[in-house]
Amino acid sequence: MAAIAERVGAQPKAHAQGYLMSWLTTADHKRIGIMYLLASTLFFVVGGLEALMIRIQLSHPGNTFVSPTLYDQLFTMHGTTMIFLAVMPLFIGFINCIVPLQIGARDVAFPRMNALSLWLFVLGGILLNSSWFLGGAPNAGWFNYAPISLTPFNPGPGIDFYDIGLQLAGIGTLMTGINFIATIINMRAPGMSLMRMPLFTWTTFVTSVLILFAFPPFTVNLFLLMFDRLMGANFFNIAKGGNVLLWQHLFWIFGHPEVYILILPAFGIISEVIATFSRKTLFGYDSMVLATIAIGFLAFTVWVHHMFVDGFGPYVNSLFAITTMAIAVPTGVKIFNWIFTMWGGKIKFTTAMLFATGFIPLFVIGGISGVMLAMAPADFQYNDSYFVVAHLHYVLIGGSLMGVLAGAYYWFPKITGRLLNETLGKWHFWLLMIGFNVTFFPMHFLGLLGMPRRVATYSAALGPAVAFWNLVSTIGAFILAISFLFFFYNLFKTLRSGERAGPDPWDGRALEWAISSPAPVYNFAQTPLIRGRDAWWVEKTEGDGRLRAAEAESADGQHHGIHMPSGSIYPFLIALGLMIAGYGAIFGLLLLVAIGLVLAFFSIHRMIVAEDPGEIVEPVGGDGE
Amino acid sequence: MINQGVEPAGPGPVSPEQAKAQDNRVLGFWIFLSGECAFFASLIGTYLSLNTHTAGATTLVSLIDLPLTGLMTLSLLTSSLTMVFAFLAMNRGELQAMKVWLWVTALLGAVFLDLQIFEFSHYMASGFTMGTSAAASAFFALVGFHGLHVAFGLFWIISLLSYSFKDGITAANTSKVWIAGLYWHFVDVVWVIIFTVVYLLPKVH
Amino acid sequence: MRPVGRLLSGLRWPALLTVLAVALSGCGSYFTSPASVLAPAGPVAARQLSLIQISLYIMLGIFVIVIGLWGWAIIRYRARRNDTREVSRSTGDSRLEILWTVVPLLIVIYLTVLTVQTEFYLTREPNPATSLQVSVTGHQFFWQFQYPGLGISTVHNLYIPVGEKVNLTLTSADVIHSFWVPELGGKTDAIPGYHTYMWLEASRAGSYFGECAQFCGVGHYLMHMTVIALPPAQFQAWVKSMQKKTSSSSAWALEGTRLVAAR
Repeated sequence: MAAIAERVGAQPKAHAQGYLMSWLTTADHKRIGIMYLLASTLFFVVGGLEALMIRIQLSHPGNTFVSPTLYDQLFTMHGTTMIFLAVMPLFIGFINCIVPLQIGARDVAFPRMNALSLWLFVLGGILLNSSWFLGGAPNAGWFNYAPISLTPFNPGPGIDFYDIGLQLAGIGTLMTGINFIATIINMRAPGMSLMRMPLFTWTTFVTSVLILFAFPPFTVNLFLLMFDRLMGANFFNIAKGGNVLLWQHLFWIFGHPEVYILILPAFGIISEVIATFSRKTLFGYDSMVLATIAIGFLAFTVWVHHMFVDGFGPYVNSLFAITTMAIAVPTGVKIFNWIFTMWGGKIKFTTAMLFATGFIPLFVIGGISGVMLAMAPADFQYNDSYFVVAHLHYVLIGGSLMGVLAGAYYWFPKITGRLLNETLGKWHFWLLMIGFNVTFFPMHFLGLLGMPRRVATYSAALGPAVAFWNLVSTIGAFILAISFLFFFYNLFKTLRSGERAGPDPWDGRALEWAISSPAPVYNFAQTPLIRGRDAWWVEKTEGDGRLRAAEAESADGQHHGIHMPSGSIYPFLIALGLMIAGYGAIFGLLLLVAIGLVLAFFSIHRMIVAEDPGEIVEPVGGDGE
Repeated sequence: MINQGVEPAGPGPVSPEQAKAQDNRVLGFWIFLSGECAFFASLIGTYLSLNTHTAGATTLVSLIDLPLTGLMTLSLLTSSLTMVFAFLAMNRGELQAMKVWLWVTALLGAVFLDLQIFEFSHYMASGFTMGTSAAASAFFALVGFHGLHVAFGLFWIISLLSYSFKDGITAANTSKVWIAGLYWHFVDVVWVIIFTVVYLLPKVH
Repeated sequence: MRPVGRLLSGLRWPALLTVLAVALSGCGSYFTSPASVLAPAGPVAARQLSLIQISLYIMLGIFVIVIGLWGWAIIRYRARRNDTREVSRSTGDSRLEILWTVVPLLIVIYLTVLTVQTEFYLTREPNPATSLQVSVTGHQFFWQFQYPGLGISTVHNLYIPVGEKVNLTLTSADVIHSFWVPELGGKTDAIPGYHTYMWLEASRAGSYFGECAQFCGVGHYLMHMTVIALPPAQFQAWVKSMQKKTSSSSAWALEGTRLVAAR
């Protein structure tokens, strides 16, 4: 972290506190973004190691590398970690670092709430992972169906860690959603009309709306489970009139939009990267925006396709099969638009562009199997088999993670001021492509050959084909893991001695490339005036290669400093208090609950009554110089 | 935006960034409230799907005391009115009057909560608890979460009252009061729905 | 970027999908198992496999077109040394955009029709008067089968007559399980507090591998069953022998009864 901080230098002068305190109290969206990226990368490594243990266990039939008890914890924590603590916060990290720059803003709408989001995510994630050392990790799968998650079948504390850890992280995510809706509506620089926003900003906006409406049902669901487990309630207890399908409905009403929360930001990143390296404006911008909105809307209408085998009958299943297949149309529009953005361009295959182009075939495979899964009667065969595991990894790795990595190579210079090594990057890309496909393509076959998901091992009686493809898949998983060693080495090497990036190393199109790398703490010395789509490209090709200042702020001809929000320790303390209360609830220690809540509410009180004087920062030099 | 009627009454220039922050706060709060709608919609949906699942145990309908819940409704609705008076005072720049009306609002909120605690303890004494049946769990979750929202509103209003207002009512602090009021009205509206769905309709039928 | 690398990225996907197509045609020992969706032994699984095949072929067609365009774009339009081409200034083309909205929509509508037809076929309950009724109960971690009309109960082994529709009513004694016999048909969940329905038919005699597909706890991976399809005469004989043994017969049944009672 020290190395990054030094590169970023994003620390207001006024801060006289110690180094650690300056990170704990920061409200700067760029530093918060960096902490999101760091923490979620660590969680990604943990989830990846869990995946490797899963693959070792399944490498041959009847393996005893891990016990079934441990295996159940491994696959649960792998899924939960990757979805909630790795991929989603990786995107939130990029959103934090980049979106305010793309719209010409000084910061997000609520800088200190942004810090609270971060700390709830980090501390919630730590709480969830601490379960390994405090009585056992959750073991009922990432969707944690009732009643196997209830006390009679699951007396240990693992599920409580899942419940409270995700509750904390989820509330943080919800606040991120609110923050970025307000930021994008209210903080755009003059001239940045909605239909001039870069696609990454658009997908962030739609993602934030999905978060806003998808997370509250999840919050409620987690509360209901907590009441059942800790307070003797009966929401899912059929002996007292409870209903186990209630969990599934509330979970998937959240869970399906969550899938789009995980893919829409990737769509945005791919759109930026492909346009930049094809040296063309995005093909069909309007239809891209419309498709994003359509996908966001449809996301709320398809949740029952996760429940096709629940026996709801032909009318319900048909209806949800139709809405699900409908999503293929706007998604297809996006794929064609990306291809035709490259069409007629001059494509430069940097590592970022390799990941963006490689995304297309992988995501098309995931999309194809998605349509096949949507056909309810066929899904009766695919459901809960390895076919589904293959599908979801094609969309989550082939889709989301490829987007994350394209974004990582693309924006790393903007975030740190240094260019990642291209040779190592290409090794990373090709090994990942090989390792990924060798790992996950055979899983389609395994599903069709009758292997259910979440089995701790499988019998040799399932035949040599099942054993063969499992071994192939395990070998692929190691190739995939090795590809990431190249990536981490690249990160390490670049931070120590990487090539310095200028403000605009890729000849970029959006506004973030108009300012120095890393961005100064105030982002833009003067709020810029936006004169078209691809705002920075317009200035480079039609203007004089400099951003124009929006006149509003300098109308009085006076020079004044830039008013930046001041940092605060209270966001961290609120999150810490809630974490302490969470541990208290898990272990039934009411005193701990009380201490945690007092700390949290004292901090909330301090934030309500706080004056926010802010800090005046003097800009240095001009934009982009 | 929404709080157009609120003119900066206090002294001191406002930087463009501070003006933006006021705007953000109100917009952000409306966004938060739409998330709250999804939260209560999930709870009400849960209640409606489980309210007949009484497992043969004590039912809510047999315990409802409409005059009591009517009194609760009255106190909460009145508190919304007094919150409006606080706003009006704020718009006129009358700090003391605003504080008085906020105190009255908090007091009415406290009356509501007190009655709710009485109501819950009466139910529990009659053998209707979280553990009685799925219907009972759903009742306590829905109505209890609303109660917690009222309690948080009280905490918020009292926090505001302890805020110094050392420069009087200014453009920088009106939105602090404004969003607390918005929250209070929202919680009130949710109560009207809960009162109708949970208490009134089952009792009338 | 070396040309070989580019060639690979252009060729690898179609090659892999050819392998999948081979898999679905059912040849090659790398694509067989005793629980294969690809080897249906009854009308339900056969109907599902045909739906899988039709959708796969259509999807392969789409894949070839999309990847063809993609491959052409990245090869034809990559930046070369001394490349003096003008970059196209196009920002969109409404005719093209309408084309790739409408054509996928038509394909989706076609798939929808197939889906709805099959869905209704599979969930049309056979006439209870003429079909065998079996109540299936999932337990952690075994399956119990009761034949209400015949007064028989078994554990682990489901005996059915060949060529007859069997009507299954599923529920669970504890957590959610999912009943899956891949060669006879897809899954239906067994959910505590609910009764769900499905029907199966075996077209030929034999033993079929069955399992629990919904994660149900630490023994989930062991929760297998065998469906034994007998010619009708043999099935009748089996029914008679079971009824003679009254309710306490085989070791399996005894063990099962004991386990059920212990819960």
